[in-house]
Amino acid sequence: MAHTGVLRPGFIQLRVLDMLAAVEHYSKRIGLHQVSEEADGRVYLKSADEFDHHSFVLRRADTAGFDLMAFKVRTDADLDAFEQRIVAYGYPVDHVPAGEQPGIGRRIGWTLASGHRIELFAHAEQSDPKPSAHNPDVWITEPHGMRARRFDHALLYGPEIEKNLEFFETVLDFRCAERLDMPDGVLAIWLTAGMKAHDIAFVKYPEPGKFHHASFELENWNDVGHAADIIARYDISIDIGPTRHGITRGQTIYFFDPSGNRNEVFTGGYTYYPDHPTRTWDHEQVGKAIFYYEREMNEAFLSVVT
Amino acid sequence: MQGNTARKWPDPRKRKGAMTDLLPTAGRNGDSTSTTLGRCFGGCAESCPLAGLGRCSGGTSAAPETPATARRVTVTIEGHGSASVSTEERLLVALERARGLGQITGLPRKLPVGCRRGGCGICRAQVIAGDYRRAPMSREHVSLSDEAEGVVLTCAIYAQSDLMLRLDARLPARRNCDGND
Ligand code: FES
Ligand SMILES: [Fe+2]
Repeated sequence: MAHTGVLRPGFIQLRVLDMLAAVEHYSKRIGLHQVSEEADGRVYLKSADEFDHHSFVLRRADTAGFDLMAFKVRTDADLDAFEQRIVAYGYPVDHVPAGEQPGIGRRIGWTLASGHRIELFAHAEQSDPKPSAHNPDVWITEPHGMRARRFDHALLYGPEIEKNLEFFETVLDFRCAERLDMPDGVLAIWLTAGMKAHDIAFVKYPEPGKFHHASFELENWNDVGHAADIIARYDISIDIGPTRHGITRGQTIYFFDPSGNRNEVFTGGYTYYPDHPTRTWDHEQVGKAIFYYEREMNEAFLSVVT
Repeated sequence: MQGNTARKWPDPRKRKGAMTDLLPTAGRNGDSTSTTLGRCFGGCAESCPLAGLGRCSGGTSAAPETPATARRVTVTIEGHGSASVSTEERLLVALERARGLGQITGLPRKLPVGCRRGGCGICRAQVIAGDYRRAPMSREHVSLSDEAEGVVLTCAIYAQSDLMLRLDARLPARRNCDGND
């Protein structure tokens, strides 16, 4: 088994201003299923195509934005090994007991130079609905809404992303699949723990801990079109798309949840192998890098975050 | 200002036939810890495992209806023209359309449009005169004292009378407010 250590994004926790509107958006429109609501008010959701207990967590608050993102590692021993490496690198690590989120084992957590809280966990119970593992049909529970197949990645905004790059590469064994360089230094990085073009990405931004988007993977370009129909039909606030990113080659739509947190649905993108070079873009092609068809960044890309 | 009228605006979740009518409405602008949703909202078929548990409401919601109470009022951006808007429309969205129609001109910069849902803060402005209803908006961008001075996120208000709006640099500065101030 070549894939060890950090496997993939496990879940993200976002703040929302209006829980009922948020649950309606993520379940009926994005196409997730609500797994549970716990006593503290947090709501746990997943795609029917995901095995683990949940991949998306909503917390009601007076502000929108990012609470944390957690990656799943392969074994419990990985948690101890990573804790040692993270502490040796210089970040204090704290411990979240099993069950703090339903169905999730113990977690370790720390804060990046960019101000974002990241966690690792090794154990997740499974929950329904989930894919079949024996003579598996393509789905057991009929896809609905935008037919999101998984929570795929997040793009986060904050300072000192060069430090994030070094940390993810040297401590968590991620690879940088793609980067965007400006004359005064790196503007953005796309990092992967496996063979996807990215599992997490960062854009340099003065304010720490900011959130650009959480992204859901769709099956194909037709489903991206179907998602666009849903966005129009239900008057969901659109940012841009359907279009394509030069970076990662993903075919995409950016839009907003009812609290102003940006969502993405996308399909496609290349396969990354660890022996591939890092693809780089320079400032003269920045428009094409971000929005390949428009060939220019919209104003909101660098300025609208929660 | 108008902050106390927030609960009077038509709740989009109360549309006829919307499955969310089944949901508790307590906690809409407050905490929802006392409610247990525990149900699936999917437009999923009988194959949904939650259906058997009586937790799947199935189907899709009915079309939004134009509220019978919609009126038209005039919103003026101090020094930059005015627009006729509906009382049932997010003000920023109405202003985007008015800009497209050429009714608002000479803004010092492009009309700032972001999430249109009260989260990102880019549409921050000040209401100088007039009545409006508020939808949820992030405390990160409008503190309680801002609120008292009429500072709003224009995407999260609905004009209820003729309104005078200030978009320019004389806005009260954004304070470093924590989420709960
Ligand atoms: S446009 Fe984001 S808060 Fe109004
Ligand atoms: Fe993305």
